[in-house]
Amino acid sequence: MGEAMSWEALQSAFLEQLLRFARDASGAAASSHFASLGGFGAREDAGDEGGEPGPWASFRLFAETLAGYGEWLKSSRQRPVPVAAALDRMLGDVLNGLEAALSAREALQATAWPELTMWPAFGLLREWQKLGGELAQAMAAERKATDKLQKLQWLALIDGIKRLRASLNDEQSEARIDSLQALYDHFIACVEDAYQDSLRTDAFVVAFGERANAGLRVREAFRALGCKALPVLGLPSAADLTEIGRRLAALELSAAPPSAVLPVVDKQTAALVKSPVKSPRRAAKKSPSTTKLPQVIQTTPKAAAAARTVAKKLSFDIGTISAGRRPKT
Amino acid sequence: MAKLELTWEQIAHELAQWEKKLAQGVQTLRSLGNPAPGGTPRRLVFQCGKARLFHYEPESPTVQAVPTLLVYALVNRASMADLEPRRSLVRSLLARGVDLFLIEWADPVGLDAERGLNDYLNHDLAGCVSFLQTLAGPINLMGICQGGTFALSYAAMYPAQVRNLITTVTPVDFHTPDDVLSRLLRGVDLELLGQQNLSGDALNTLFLALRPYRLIHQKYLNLVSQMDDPDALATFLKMEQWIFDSPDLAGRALHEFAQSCYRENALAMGSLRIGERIVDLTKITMPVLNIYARDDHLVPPAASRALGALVATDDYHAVEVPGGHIGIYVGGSARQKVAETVSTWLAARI
Repeated sequence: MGEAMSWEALQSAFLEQLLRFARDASGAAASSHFASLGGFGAREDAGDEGGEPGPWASFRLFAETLAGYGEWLKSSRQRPVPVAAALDRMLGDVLNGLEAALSAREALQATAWPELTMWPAFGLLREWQKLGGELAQAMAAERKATDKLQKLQWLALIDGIKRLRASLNDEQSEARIDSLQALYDHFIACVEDAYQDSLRTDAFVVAFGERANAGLRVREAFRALGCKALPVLGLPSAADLTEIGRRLAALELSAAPPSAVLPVVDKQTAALVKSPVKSPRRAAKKSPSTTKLPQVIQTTPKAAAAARTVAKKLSFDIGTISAGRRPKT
Repeated sequence: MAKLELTWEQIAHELAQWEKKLAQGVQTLRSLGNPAPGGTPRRLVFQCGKARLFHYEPESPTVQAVPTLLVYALVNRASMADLEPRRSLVRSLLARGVDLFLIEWADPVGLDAERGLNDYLNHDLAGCVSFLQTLAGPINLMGICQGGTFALSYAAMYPAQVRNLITTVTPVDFHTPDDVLSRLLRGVDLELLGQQNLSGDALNTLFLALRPYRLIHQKYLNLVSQMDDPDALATFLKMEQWIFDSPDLAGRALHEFAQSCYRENALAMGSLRIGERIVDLTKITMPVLNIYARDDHLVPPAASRALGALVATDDYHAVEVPGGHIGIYVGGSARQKVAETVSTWLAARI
């Protein structure tokens, strides 16, 4: 084993390896080498002059980019660029990249989400067609609304990075950033501030509302389709559960006296909370006469009120029961 | 570029340290396992609708004569008040002699989509308060966030049942300029929103969208700096579990709250109707303690401070605590300040 390499030596060695790989990979020799591994041989000669077809084109581009990056890193090692200058250049590249990506994204979205047109459903499966179509429409609308909101979020990010860049170039500033952590925190502060400003604009409120509403409409469309599908699968739907609740309430009303459905008071607790309570020990010794039922229970002695209690527990409309009429079973 | 004073060597050194901490943190994470629920001893003493009333075992040799009922929001869970022994508002209050009861709301199921504020307040909360009131007379009511709005509304509707009222990080005026949540809801179709229960995940997505870079990016990257501390990591995991273990919200209750409070600002306007009752804040003549968080991004201080001008009591105190919406309950000094303020204020009025 040789002696341990310094960090600088390791970095240089790594860069040499990276460059060798990248140069080889982007050259013709590499192209034929990889092609000989199979799969791409037949396509190797199919390219027009200066270009290569299919996967090779993108691979060459990637390798060339990698080689360029390696060269840049190596030159940075030889003639160190100050961190501030390198960061400024990097932020400029990031901004250009984000703006270009945003434009490309918009162009893609314009073609990717054509308007879905619906026609009246008919035939044996008309209900499925209708529900499926409504779901597809809702999902397409949600996608569009999401794109609109995300565009604003991207713009806020771009604004945030511009703020970061400007603040780092602010000669008047007295604040110091002397660690990577501080730089990262400053980055977060800048992009979050920009986002908060965007959040407060009318455009964002509108886009957010449209996105939320579109999501809710997808939920409704899914629900409608689910309600149709669940019985087919032998599973209970919301309507079945509501019916179960109704029958359960009716059963409780007919089978038990009103007090049986009311909460049971814990005697020990009743003693504990007897007023005035000075200490738990003293309270525990108090008379069990404190176990009287709470007011809310005492004021509901009638069956109709008990039915309302049951209805509250089950949370569905049993107006017919609380009105004193027995439900149909 | 005057601000940036960094060299490549510094960056390399910091990255190496960061990587080392990350590796240590992975080991610590493996040793911790999932956080177990665990809190202050308590007993379920009463149930009414979706409300489960718990009584905490007193920890102080002297206990205040009037029980204090802690009402939590429908959003998230009340376990935040008793996350772990070292960061427990509940324990801090018990240690100062508060006789503490807590309402935990049971998760709504599909059939609860029709549950409204009337069910939660005039039935469930009323049942719990009546249970305590019948046995101990008028009680102290303390609310957290939306639970504070509930406590406030209840005290206005049934003033004779409430001896002292404490609101913490409670929205009262929902139309203050810095209320981002209120602004965002303006474009949302609230009828559509309330047609079904809203999932806790959907609500959390909304909260994350209010501060995405801090809550999604910075929080986790900064976690690495404390990953070599098992205690800090365990606390982080408990907080994470609490934050994302959110119950669904009953559709109707959500719609009513969003429509009347956020959209119409009815609580501050005096036009909030819950069931058959109007919530008239001028009926609040009992002592009121209003605690709000200085750096609250969900309930801005101005939204809470508005309470002072709306109640009719002569005994009103507003206290600002440094910290965020949750931080004032789980942060060390802030939590102690909340507990100390509450217990001292109560002791002077019982």
